[in-house]
Amino acid sequence: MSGKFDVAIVGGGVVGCAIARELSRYQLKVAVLERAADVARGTSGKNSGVVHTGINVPADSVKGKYNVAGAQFFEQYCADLDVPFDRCGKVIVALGESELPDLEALKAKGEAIGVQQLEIIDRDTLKKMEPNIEGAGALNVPTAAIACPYTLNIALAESAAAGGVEFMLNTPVLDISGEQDSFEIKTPNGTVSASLIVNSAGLFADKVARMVGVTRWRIWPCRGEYLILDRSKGDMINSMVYPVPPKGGAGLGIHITPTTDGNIILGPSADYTNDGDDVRTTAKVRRQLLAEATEFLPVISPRDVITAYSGMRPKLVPSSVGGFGDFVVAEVPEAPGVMQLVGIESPGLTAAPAIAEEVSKWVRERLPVKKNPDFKKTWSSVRRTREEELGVIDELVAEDPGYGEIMCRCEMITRREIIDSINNELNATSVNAIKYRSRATMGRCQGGFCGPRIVDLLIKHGGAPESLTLNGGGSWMFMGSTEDLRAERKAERARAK
Amino acid sequence: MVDPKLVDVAVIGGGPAGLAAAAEAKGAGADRVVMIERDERVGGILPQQIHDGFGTKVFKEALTGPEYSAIYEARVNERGVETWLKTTVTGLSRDRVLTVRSDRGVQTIKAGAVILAMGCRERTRGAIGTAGTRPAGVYTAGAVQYYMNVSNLAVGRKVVILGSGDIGLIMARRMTLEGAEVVCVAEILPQPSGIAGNIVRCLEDFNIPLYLSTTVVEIHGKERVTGVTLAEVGPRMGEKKGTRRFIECDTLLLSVGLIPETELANDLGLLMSPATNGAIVDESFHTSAPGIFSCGNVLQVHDVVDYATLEAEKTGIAAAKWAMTGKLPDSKINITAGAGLRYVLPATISGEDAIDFTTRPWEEEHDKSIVFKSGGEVLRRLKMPHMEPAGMIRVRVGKGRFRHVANNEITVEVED
Amino acid sequence: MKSTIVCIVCPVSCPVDVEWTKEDGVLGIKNQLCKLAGPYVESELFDPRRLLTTSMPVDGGDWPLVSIKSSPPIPKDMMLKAMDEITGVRVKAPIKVGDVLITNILDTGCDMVATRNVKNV
Repeated sequence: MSGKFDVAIVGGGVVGCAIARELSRYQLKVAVLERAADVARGTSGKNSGVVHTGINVPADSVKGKYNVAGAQFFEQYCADLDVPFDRCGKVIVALGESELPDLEALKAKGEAIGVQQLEIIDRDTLKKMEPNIEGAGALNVPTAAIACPYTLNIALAESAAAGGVEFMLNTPVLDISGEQDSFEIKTPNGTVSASLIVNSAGLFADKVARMVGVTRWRIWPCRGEYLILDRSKGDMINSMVYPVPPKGGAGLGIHITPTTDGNIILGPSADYTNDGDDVRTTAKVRRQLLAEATEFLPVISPRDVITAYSGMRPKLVPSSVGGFGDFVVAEVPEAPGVMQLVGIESPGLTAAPAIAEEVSKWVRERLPVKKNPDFKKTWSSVRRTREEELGVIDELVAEDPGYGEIMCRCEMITRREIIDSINNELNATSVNAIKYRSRATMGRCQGGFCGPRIVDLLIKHGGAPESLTLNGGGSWMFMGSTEDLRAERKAERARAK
Repeated sequence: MVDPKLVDVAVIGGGPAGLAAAAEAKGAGADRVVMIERDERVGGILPQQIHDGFGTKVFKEALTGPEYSAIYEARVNERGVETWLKTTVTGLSRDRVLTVRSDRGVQTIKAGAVILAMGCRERTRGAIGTAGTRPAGVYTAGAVQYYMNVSNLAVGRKVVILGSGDIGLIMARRMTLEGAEVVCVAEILPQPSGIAGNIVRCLEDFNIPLYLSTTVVEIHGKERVTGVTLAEVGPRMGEKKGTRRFIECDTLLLSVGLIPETELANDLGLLMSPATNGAIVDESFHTSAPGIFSCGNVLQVHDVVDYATLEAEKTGIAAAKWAMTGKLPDSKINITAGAGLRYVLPATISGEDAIDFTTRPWEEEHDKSIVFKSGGEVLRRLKMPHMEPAGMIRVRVGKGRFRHVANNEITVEVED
Repeated sequence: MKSTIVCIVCPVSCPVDVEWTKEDGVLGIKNQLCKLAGPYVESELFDPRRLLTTSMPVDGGDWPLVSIKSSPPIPKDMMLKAMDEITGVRVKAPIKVGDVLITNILDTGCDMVATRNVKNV
C-alpha cells in the first residue's frame, strides 16, 4: 500500500472516519491508515454510545464547543447514514435528599452551556418516568440521546470509501518524515506520501505526534469496563439513568444506559493502565458494577449479564493529577501541515461531526478543492430487517429469499444481512467485521448457534480455515481441518517412535 | 397477509424431542402436523454427537447420535409430518397463532396445539464473566463439537476444558482422539458434573487430569489464547488465595451448563419452574397456557436422550388428543419436591395413569431411597444404591399407587 | 482381588464391586442394577474394549465428513493406533448407515462402519 495523497488520516476511529467522509465531498486524494483489521476497533467501538448534551463539560472548553456543535446535527447525521439513534433522554438521580442541591448545580451548569429543557423533577414524577428506580428526585435531561457508535463509525468509513477515500486496513504507522506538502509515512506495507496529515490516532495520538516532532503530549490510557444485559430486560428503564456520584467517591456512580439495540449496558469503570491495548475485563469491576447496579435497579440480577467489554480512554491527564483534560484540536507550530486531534475521549463521539467540519475547513484553507460528484449523501451499511413490518419483510423476501432466512436467532438477523456484511465496502474480512455490521453473535447465545453457520458460509465463500480470524492479525480461529489436526498428530507419533 | 394456515399440531424444534413428538402426534391421529426447524437440517444436536451412548433405554443398544437421529427422521417422514427447515418462529400467541419466517417470507399459522421443543443453548464465557482478554480460541464445547464433527474444522492444538459436565468430558475424548492435547479439565464443584462412565472413558482412558474445586479465573492472550490461569475455590465458590497457576494452551473450551431456550415461553407468560428453568407442566406435558405443551431439553435438561424421546412421545400423543378433542386428564394432584431433591416433574398429575416421574438429587447419595408420600403414608419407595445430580432419575409409579393420595398432595423426597 | 469398576454400559454408571482372580476370572459382582454389568466387568478386567467413534472426509457428499464407529468395539489400547490408521483415508459419497468403510482395521477383526447417511451432490 503506497501512493501519493493530499491528506493522510492516521486512525480509522469515529473522528478519523467522520473527517474522511467530510473530505469525500471534494475531489481530494484521501487515505485512511488504520492499524487494525477494521475501523472502530479502538475506543470508537467500545464506549457507551451516548450523544452528550454538553452538561458534563465546561462551557468554555474545546470539549464543550465541539460537543454542543456536534449534538446539534447528530440526529440528522445518523439519519443520513442509517445509524440507529434514539433521543431517549437522561435522568440524573439524587439517591437521597443530600444530593438534591447537586442537581441544582448541574442544572445551572447545563444551562450555561446551552442545554435546553432541563428540569428538576420530584420523587413521584421520577417514579412515573422510571418505575424501577428509587430516588429523592432527579434532573431530567430530555435532549440527551444514544446512537450506535460502531455502526456510525462503519457507515462513515464505508460512505467515504464509496466516495473515493482509500482505506488501508492492517496498516499501522511506523514513522513519519518530511514536511508539509511532502510527508512520507512509513508503514509495514509500503510508504504513503501526503501533503497534509490528520493525527486522529486516539490512544496512540501522542506517538504519532512524536513522529512529527511534537513532544508536548502524553496519553494516559484509562480503561472503562462494561457489562451488557440481556435484551429481554431492556425495558426496565426508559432513558439513561445516572445517579449523582455518591459523596465520598467510593462507588463508581453506576451508569445504566440503554442501547439502540434494546440492551442495557452497565458501566463504565475507570482504571488507569500503562498499556493502551490492555482491554481486559476484570472480576473486580464485574462485582462492583453488579453490586451497584442491582442495588440501584433491583429488577436485574447477575444472570441477566450476557457479556462484558472494555474500552480505553485516551486521557491527557494522569490519575495522579486528575481533574479535567481538554481536547486538542489544533495544528501546532512544531509540525505545520499536521492537524493534531489528541485526547479525544468522551464526548468524542458527539463531537466527531463538528471536529470533522473544522478539519475539513483547515484542509480547504491549504489545498484547492473541487466538489466531488461521487460524494454519498446518504448511506446504509447493511439493511437491517429486525424492526421491519411483516409486510415489508414479504417484499424484501420476494426480492431476495435471503431476507427470510434467520441465521442469528437471538438477534433476528437474516442470511442476506450476514452476506452483505461479508461483502462490505472496506473488504474487512474478520468475523468481527461481520459481527459489527450485522449484529450476528451479539445476542444471548453469543454466537453459539449462528457462529458455526457463519463460519460455514465464509468457508463456502472461499476462505481457507487457517485464514479466518476473529479480529484480524494473529487472531486465528482454526489450525486447519479436522484431518489436518489428525495428520499432525500422526506425524508426531511417528517421529516419537 | 393471507389468512392463517390451520394445522392440528405445530412442533417448534426439530431435534430429538421435536422429532419424537411430531412422529407420535401424527401417529395418534392428528391430521396435519408441522415440525418447524430453524436449521437447514433436523436432528438438533444429534448429528454432531458422533459418539455412542444413545438408545440404551429405547433400543437396548448404544447407538451414535446420527444413527439415533436417523431412526426418528425416517419415522417422521414415513408418517407424513410436514417439515419446515430454515424456518424460525418469531412470534407465538396464547391462542396458538404462530408467526414464522423463512425464505418464503412471513406466514401465520393457527395451531390446535403447539409443542415447545426448542432445546437449549450453552452458557457462555460472557454469562459466567470470566475475567481477562477476549482473544480468539474461547469456545463453548458444543460449538467445537460442531466444527470438529460436522464442518471438518479443528479449533486448536492445546486445550483446557472448563466444566466436567458430559459435554466437556465427551469433548476431552474427542479432541484427544482427533489429535489435540487436552491439558486438563477443570471443574468448579467438588465433584464431577458428568456421569461416572464418562469420567472413565473420556478422562481415565487418556490420562487427562481432572482438577475439582478449580475454575478458570483469567484468560490470557491478545489476539489468540496463550493460556489460562486456574485457581481453586472454597466451599462458597470464592477463589482460594495462593492457588493461582498459569496453564499454557491455545484453546479454552467451556462446558458450563445448558440454558433452556425459553424466549417464546417467557413471552407467553407461561408459569416457569426456577428449578428447571423450563415451563411447569402436568402429566400431559401441558403448560399453563391451554394447548401449549413442552418437552425435551427446553422443559428440563436431559442427560439421556432416550428419556427426552419418551417424554416427547407422550407429549405428541397428548397434544394430538388436545387438538382433536380439547380434553386431557384433569391434573389436580400436586407433586412437591421434598428433602434431597432439586425438582420433580411433572408438577401435577391426575392419578388416573401410571407416571414416569423425573427428578434429580441435590447431592451425590449412596444407599438411599426415593419415597413418594401423601398424608403421611408411603405410596412408593424406590431403593437407589447410587444417585448423583448429573444423572436424571426416572421413576415409574403405577396407577394403583395413587389410590391413597390425601388432599391431592404428594411429596417426593430422599430418605435413608 | 477386589476392585470397584464403574460400569459404562448405560448412563446410570453403577459402581460395581468385583471379586476376581487372574486365573479364575470374575468370582462375584455386587451393586449392579442390570444384567449388562457382568459381561462388561469381565471384559474390562481381561480384554478391555472401547467403541471407537470418529469421522472420515468425504468426497462429493452433502456432508464434508462421515461419522464412523468400530464394530465391534476395539481393544482399548489400540484406539490411538486406529486413529492413525484412519487418518489420510478419504471416502466417496453416497454412503449409507452401516456401510463398511474400513475392513478389519489393524487386524483386530473390527470394521469401521458409517453411522451417517451422506448423499451425493
